Amino acid sequence: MKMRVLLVIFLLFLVPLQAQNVGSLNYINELGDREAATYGDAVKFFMMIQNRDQGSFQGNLAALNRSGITRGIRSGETSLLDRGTLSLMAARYLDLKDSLFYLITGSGRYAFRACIEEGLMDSEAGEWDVVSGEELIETMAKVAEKKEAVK
Amino acid sequence: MNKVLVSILSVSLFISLSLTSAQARIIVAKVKGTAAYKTANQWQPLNEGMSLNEGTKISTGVNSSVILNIDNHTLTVNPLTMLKIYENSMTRTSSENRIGLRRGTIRAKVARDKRIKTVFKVSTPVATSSVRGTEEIISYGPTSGMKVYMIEGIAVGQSNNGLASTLQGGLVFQQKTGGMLPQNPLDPVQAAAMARIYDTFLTADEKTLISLFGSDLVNTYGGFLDKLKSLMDTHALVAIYVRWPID
Repeated sequence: MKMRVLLVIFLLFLVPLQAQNVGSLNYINELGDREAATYGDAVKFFMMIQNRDQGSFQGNLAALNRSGITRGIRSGETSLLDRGTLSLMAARYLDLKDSLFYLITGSGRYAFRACIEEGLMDSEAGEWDVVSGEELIETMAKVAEKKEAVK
Repeated sequence: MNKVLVSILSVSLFISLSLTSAQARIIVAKVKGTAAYKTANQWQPLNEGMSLNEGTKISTGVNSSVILNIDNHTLTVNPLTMLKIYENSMTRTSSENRIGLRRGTIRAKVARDKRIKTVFKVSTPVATSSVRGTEEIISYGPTSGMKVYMIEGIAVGQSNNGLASTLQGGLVFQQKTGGMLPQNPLDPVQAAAMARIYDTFLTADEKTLISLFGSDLVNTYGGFLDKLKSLMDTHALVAIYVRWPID
């Protein structure tokens, strides 16, 4: 009898674990269907690729501020994400140092140029263009791959 | 009577074994991190050893990957990828698999057996890759479009407007979203090629031109070599150095 109770408890623990896993995928797939991604999505994604997602925007933002990735960016959670902002976060996360102008200015404009050089961004787009959900996923896949290659 | 019974049983066993060995199958060989599959409306966790059916969608999360054994082929699904297995059929003489790649990157290692007619196609919203007994990496995203990197063997990349390129030796097929034409897979080879023009048969003016610009030239479309060609009245001796396959 005890064994049965223990087994049921063990299985009950497993169900939310699996649901949580699929939950993060549901978020990604729902994001892929959106025409525009938000700053909140970018913040969450940068935490996700580091396996540090804390669930709340404020918690994630505080962690990214500490590591300097979102330093000085004045956007709200629901603000539409532009390529310049995403580039700035990516350039800081990857610690890009090949672009002289980006190193001097540290601006989104030159972070965007640096990201084009790294193959993270499309040269045919502009820094103020809003990033779609699919584009954010594609860019973050490239960012994560590049970070892994550097390790 | 016993001999007849044994013969019938043997034939039945042989037929059933033959049919079993030719059955199409999709087996999840390895799961790293978060991965899910969808057959109806809900995503379910994907686990090692599972058997999947035609029509299944697969999605991987960040820092996650999946290895699928599809018939005798191996498909590695990289992080942040979503695909659908549209077709998976196998007989004793043919193997047909069609994958729809919505986003992300996959690596396909397609087994080659001369006795089996193999079709392994990967489609994206902009183009289709047809692998012919080889290994390739295929990616798709709204920014980069579809890219096919050849690792080993031959494949054909075909954009939705019907333009096809045969790929081998490290060539890359790229069809951008909204682009009219796929990128010429030989562009990187041409960009790295060197042309040397010898002054035999050249006129005095042509020799002067070469002395001004040098004789070792990168041959690009519309570049100096093309301009020189249009100026030349006579044939020239030209050596072109090409590095291929690309590393």
